[in-house]
Amino acid sequence: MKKRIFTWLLALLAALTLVVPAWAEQTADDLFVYDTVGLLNEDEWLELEMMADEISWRYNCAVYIVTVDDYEDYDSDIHYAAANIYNGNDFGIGENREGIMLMLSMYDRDYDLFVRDDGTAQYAVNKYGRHQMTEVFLDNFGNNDWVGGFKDYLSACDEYLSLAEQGHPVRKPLIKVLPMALGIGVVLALAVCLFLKSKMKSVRQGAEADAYVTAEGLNLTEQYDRYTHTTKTSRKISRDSDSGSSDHSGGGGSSTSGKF
Amino acid sequence: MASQITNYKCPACTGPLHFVGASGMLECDFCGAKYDVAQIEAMYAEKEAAAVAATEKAEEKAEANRQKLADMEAQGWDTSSLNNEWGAEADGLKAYNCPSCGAELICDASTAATSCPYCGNPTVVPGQFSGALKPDYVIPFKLSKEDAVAALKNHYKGKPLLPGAFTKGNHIEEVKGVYVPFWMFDGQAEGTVDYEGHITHVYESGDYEITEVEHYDVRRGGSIAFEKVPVDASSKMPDDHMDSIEPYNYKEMRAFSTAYLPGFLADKYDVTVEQSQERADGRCASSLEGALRRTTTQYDTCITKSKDIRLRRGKVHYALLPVWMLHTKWNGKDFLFAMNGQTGKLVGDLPTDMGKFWGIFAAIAAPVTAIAAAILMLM
Repeated sequence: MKKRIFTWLLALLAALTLVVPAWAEQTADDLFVYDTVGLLNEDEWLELEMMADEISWRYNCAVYIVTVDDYEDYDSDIHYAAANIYNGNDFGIGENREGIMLMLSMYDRDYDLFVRDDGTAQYAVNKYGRHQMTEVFLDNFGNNDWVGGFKDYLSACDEYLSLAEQGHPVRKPLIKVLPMALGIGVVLALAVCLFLKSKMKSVRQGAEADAYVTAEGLNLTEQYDRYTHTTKTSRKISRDSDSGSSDHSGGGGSSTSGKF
Repeated sequence: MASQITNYKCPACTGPLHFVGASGMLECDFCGAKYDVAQIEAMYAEKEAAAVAATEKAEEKAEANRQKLADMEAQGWDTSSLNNEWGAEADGLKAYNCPSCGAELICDASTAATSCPYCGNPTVVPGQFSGALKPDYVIPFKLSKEDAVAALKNHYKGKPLLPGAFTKGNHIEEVKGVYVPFWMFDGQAEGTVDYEGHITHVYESGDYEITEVEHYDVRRGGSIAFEKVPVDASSKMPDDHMDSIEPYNYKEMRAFSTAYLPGFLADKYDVTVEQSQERADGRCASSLEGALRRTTTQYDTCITKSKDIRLRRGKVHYALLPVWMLHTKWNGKDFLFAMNGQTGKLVGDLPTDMGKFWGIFAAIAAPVTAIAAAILMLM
């Protein structure tokens, strides 16, 4: 019975998707948890839905959970698949359609954490924030603890949005960025100073006589090119994070995706 | 030692004539008359021959003087304090009498044109450019002393690491317009170079980045002809300064005439062709290597495995090229600048204020670090 109600809600959502005008936005009646795969029972779904609803309206920034069988049904790229679901269903609250969406694709156990650009959501959860957030739920999903993972995700959203509201969004600590920032500063300053120092020296021994070549130029008498062999080396591509995740942007949002 | 020297005098007022680069004529400082180089050349051809003869005569006279001294000594006069022995120095020195004021001038044996330090009269030393020593070409000065001083001041601009005290406190000690002797080598470089060429393809396959490198045996052979590769033939001139003010515009090169020399210093060569040709050979070989390498642009990298470059030496010319030498002193150190007297290209190393160096370093590093940290934190 519960399953039937849930399926009916999803069908209703699909129907609304077709008729909702482009400027439509999340209303108090709309849902935040779309478990099309059926990972959750009705109680679990209800609990998560209430939790998401409460957080979303408290901060005016929608927090979504979406599960799909295979993201490739929406786009070959997981980021654009998430963006298509978000934009295609007019997700988000307010004029800027503020929102955060966690999508699980069960076919290859992929996830994508999508954050709407240019607004509260991005201010609260930037690239570093997305990476930090994935750390809190990936272990649960790895153990097929769907409810635990989704709860951790919603709690993290609550915490991040709260901190952002207080004007202290989660940011990479200075101590972590300082070595790289210092490296950039030192290398750039050294490059400029060495360039300026090179301008102090203008006396050099002549090494070539190109200015005195006759008008005929080079008379090329021998030209020989023989292919001998090919060498092939391969290197495993290291993604942005040590957990094997990658970052993307476009389609009105930025996301971090990977495997769970 | 003493010998006669000649100077070009104005046919109208007998004042000294100077070669002026801007007009390309010999000009009189006193009456302002201007004369074509060829006109004065013809007029003085005879006089120059006479001056060479006078030089020889003076040598004979000097020998007679030495004999006279010996005779005086024999008659009981004490001449022990008069030193007649120049030793090895005599080989490198020559003495002349200024035809204007009569002062005896002692200068380097390689000096061919100079001016009297007492009356400023420009003079050309006869015999220095006669016979086998006569240059084939000369490029006349086009730029003046004022141009050289202005170019030096311009050289200081746009150099934030130059010590402030250098521009304020430094004084140009000396500005000399010198016709520097150069050997000019014609020739041809030919040979072959073997390389290992690589063409690299990088692509992704799944989670892997694949790098494929195609290896090729590459050979290029050819030849290049060179015309008038200059190598300075004066040991007094620093080679790197002379190389750095190249190139000269050979279209303005003229057949040599001493009429271009008055008003400037001029040296004859004291570095032989044999001593100079190694530098010319090296430059020609490098140019051929560079030209051959430029035919291998289809490869991403090309490593030289072996090379066989041969040089066919051709004619050697002897030319005088115009150089302004400027000398300054700062903090007890000498700074030498050279300017191409034809094109105006000026070179000379400048001191670096290390305080300014580290100041600029800090001024860039600190804000860039702060901005980079802020951007990285926001990402």
